[in-house]
Amino acid sequence: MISEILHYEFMRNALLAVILAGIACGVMGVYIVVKRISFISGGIAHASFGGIGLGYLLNINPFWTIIPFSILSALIVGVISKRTRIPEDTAIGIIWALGMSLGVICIALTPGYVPDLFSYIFGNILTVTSTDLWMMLILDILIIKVVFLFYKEFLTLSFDDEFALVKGMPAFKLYLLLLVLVALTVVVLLRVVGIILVIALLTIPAVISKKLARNLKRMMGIAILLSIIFGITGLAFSYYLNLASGATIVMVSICGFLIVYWYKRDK
Amino acid sequence: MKEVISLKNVWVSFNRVNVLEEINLSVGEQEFLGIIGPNGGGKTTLLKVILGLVKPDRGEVLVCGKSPEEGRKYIGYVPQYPLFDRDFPITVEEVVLMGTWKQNKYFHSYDKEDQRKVQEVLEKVEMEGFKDEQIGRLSGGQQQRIFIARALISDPSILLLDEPLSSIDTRLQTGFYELLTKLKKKSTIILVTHDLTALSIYVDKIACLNKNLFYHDSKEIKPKDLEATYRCPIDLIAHGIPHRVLKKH
Repeated sequence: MISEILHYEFMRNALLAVILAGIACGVMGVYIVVKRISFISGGIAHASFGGIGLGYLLNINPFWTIIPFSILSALIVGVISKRTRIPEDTAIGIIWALGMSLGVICIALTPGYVPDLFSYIFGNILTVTSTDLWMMLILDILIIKVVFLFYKEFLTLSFDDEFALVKGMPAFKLYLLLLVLVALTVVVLLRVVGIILVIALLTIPAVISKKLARNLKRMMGIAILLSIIFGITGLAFSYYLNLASGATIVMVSICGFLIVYWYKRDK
Repeated sequence: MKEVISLKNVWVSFNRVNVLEEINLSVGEQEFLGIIGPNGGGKTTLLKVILGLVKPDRGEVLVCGKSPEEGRKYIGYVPQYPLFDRDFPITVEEVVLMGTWKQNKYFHSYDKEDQRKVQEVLEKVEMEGFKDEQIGRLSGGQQQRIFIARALISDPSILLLDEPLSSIDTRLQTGFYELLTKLKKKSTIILVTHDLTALSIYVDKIACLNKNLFYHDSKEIKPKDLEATYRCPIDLIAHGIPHRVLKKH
């Protein structure tokens, strides 16, 4: 049965996409959960819709426009929330809406039919191409490399950012770097669950693994594993029940979350 | 005596309300200064000014003759209530290792020497058995000792302690002061507290802070300073010798 499924190239690609997405969201999800920036991440994800629209308008692969666009929105949210008197949630709301409305305007201005638009919004893992996979792989390597290099600094920043400052760490720059990595993770996850549901994969596996792990590295490992398990299970359900893949993966993750919280409720 | 911390005419305000007014302070090498004052009197703010985390509106702050941002590297800081998530997956060892971070240590991982130092400082604060515990599982007092260890691991020449004894029980308080006496041979120490009884024979000088700083080059608190600080008459409970903080009166 499994060999039958793997016979199709789109299924093989889908499985690879689940694994690559699981790595990125397992690693970055941990920072998003412990540093409590899930809504910043949601904001960055939605703002990157502007990049999708821009890609359609310029008639190039939206990947090329999403990356700079999501990085830019990450930097803007970071700067506004830390360096102005505008509260963080307000900054998130504004950038969120700004990106989305730019996207809508760009798409309205794009002549003719806009293909695949829904797969960016809700994700469609079955349409992942090998170009997408290469892109995801490169971004994964980049994310892991940077996290590996700045592991100590990110740990201190997430645990006690005042102490990071006292030790003379460039806390603000590190925070911006972390947000940029979140933006890249959003790009990796886009094809799997779409911008609307990205926040689920960024938070659920990591928040479950927080219940199970005693240190950050182990938490990342568990989160990666959980994301991949949820991804494959969701994919199987969506295949047999003929449901939207992104939404099914998210539903499976939420079930996993509820089960673990039920068992660990006393802790 | 070499001056390591110097504040000249420092004013700090938040939202146009003055928190510190006209602060002048000079602390020399290997001095142990206790600062007392009511809650909200600006004690934590004063420490943050020295650390460069709070910028004064006016005045000059020097740490080892440098700006606070540069002088920070000589300082070990123990915050009052470190704000962290009690469920944060991090072990005691990892928290203490944070204290070893230096600018030139980017891209280095912690080595054997760092781990040995962790063991050493954990012994100093009597927490050597807790290296692999998750920090959120420890009691408040134990956590505070871990944060003291985190500050000590970098061998700071200046130690800033913000209410370090608030959740440490009495038995350990004495041990803690003895530890500070040992540290005093190498470091300058500023200890901030709202609790008069926490100050004992170990400090060299005492200052009172409530927006203004009343500071004398001695260990005696003048009752009029205390009254000015707490804005009400204070009943002084003076210990006998050698715990006397007040002159006979």
